[in-house]
Amino acid sequence: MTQDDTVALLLCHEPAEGLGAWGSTAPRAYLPCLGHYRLVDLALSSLMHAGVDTVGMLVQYCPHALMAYVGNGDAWEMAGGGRGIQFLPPCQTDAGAVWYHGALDALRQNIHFLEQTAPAHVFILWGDRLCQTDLHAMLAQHRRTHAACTVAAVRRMVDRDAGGAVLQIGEGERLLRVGGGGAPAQGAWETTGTFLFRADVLYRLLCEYRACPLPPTDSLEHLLLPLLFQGACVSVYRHAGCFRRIATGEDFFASHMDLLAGACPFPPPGLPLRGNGTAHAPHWIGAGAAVRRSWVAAGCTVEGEVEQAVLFPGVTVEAGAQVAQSVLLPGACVRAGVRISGCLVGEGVSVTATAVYPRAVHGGPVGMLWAQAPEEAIHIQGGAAS
Amino acid sequence: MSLAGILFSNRNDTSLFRLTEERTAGAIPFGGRYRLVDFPLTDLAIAGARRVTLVSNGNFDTLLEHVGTGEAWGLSPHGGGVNTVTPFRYPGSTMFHGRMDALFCMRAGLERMQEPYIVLGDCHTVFRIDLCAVLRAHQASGAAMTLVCAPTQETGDVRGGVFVAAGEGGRVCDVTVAHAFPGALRWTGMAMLSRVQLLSFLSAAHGLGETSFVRGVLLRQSRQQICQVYRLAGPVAYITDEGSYYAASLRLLQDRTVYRTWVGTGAKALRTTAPEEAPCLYGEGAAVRASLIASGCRIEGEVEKSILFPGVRVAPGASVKGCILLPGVTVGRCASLYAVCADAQACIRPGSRLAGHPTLPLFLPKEKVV
Repeated sequence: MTQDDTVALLLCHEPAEGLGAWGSTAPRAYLPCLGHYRLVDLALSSLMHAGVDTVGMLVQYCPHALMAYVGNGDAWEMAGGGRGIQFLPPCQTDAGAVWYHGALDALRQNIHFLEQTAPAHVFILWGDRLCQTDLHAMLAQHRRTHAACTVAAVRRMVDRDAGGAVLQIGEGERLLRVGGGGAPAQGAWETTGTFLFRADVLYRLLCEYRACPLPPTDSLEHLLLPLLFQGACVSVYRHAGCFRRIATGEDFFASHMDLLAGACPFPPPGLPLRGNGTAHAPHWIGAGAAVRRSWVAAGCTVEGEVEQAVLFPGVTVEAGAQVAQSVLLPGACVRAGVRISGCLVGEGVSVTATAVYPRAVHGGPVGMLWAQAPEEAIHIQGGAAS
Repeated sequence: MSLAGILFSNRNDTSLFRLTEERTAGAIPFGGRYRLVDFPLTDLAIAGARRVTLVSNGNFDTLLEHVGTGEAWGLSPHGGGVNTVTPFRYPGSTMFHGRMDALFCMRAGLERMQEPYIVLGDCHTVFRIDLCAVLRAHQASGAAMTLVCAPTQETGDVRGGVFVAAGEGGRVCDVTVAHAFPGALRWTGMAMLSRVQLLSFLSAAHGLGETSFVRGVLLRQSRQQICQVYRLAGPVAYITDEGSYYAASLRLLQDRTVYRTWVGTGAKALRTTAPEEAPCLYGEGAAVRASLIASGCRIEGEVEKSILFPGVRVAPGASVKGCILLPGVTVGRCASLYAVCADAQACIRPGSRLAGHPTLPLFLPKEKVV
């Protein structure tokens, strides 16, 4: 059902720092994920399922590939009839040209989007998180509780630093406090970065921030503090499904290995993912191939052995090659007779020598087989130690 | 903008039985994620055509849903896009009795078209062709019409086949129907001619009361030697019945050259509108060999020399050999399938054993539960 009174601001402006050569040419939201999709597909699919079809997409860092991929939003049923995706890059005005300095600054530079669309509720979410929230349920809770803001939260896992603010939740899912003393404990609820504001509340907050210098920490959680101080109702939506931040190549690798092992069902039932990638032919499994416990995308050619691996579109595993516990990004190739284990192979990289990282799936070092340019063959030193 | 296409999607609908019960021949799934109409549509789009007319007598819901506006092939609505011609368009009109009948119904549109050349084609013949090369050859030959033909080694079923004898310089000097003589070339169903020439043929055929393109044009013109043959070098498959559909599909697995020619790569890749689904999941007990697997499948059993379309499920312990499983087919635990072609959404219950023969495959209708 279409939510005519709700719009979304999708934050896709951040670079993919910490991802080496891979992240230097595109924003993090454009990173490939889950064997076929891009990270931005998760947020756009969530919005599509919630019926939100007017989206402002904040872009800044190398946005061309992302903008070309998203197009007019037709793939997510967001085109025509007054609906659509509007790209919101930093721009030149009479006051000068200013880049986005963080999420809060990016939002307040686009306050005109709220004036132009005049919604009743506004979603703010990140386009670069491995997370698919049921935004329809979140919106229903927001309406039911008449909250000024609803914030999505997820349980913190001890083996990773999610980087969100810890929330203290009272009765009736009401937020009592943001942050807390000491190190965050396992099982604490922390923000996922998805917020749902009443439009008038958000507009007022952004106007106030526009008049002030930037706060010391430019995180979106900062928007909640004045609301709590004023005693406004801030509701917490508990997200039960998968949630991962992809800050480094190791995060990316670990997330895919977790999902492949079935750590949590993804995508959630009833919320199928939608992408806008290039169509590929069905993949070919050769007569001498063996594939087990793996995801294989379209356009792949597998003639060797593949075990517990994620093969993105167009990957080639030649005869006699062995691929175990690895993630191979689009167009990667493992040459005949080569064995790789515990590796993340970059886009278009051709692996011509054995690379084994046996402890990668247990949190040990991961073999990052990047290339500076697609199609550039690289040679990996054989049998790298864990 | 020099080419426009007219594709006839209903040919052989009756002999394809279960495959065309709920769809027309152009909409038959093929090669793991495509439909037969994708082949001529892609080649027309690559050659720069922006307008394609689909002619269908009926059963065309799936075809229209698949083709849509033709955007996926680059056939923008602003350049003409995809038009559909169906019968009963005017008071008193009936079903189309042949290609000339259908073309006569759309003659007003033909007169308005800007494109100087027309490509006529069928949907049941699988091949890839460079239509720019055909156009160059057609212009160089000065012929009234160019027929795209392929060498034939046919010894068995030649029902419905049109065979031509090429004389000096490639001129058509004889045409036979359903009779393959030594040295004959088989017509693929594709012809190229100027729009003016087509209108001229149309008037002549209508005056004689001919509704068939073969009778009204090919057989009549063969003696005058005004038609030229364009020899197709690549692989061709004529899908005239269920057995030939099965055989053509398995050629994709048996010969990688055939697969690469038909599916193509880069700018020549076969285009389609089928949405790409999530990657295929291979489970613990998966054993897959020599097969084409589409995205969205979940395989936990054994699959060999088979083609699986999107969303097929093969449960643990199941065995699938020499099969074509169309979208959404479910194979239950420990079921065994050999030489079976299961149409969309068919369900094979756990423990079932179904077997056809490579020369006489077992066809399961759509949504059949076994």
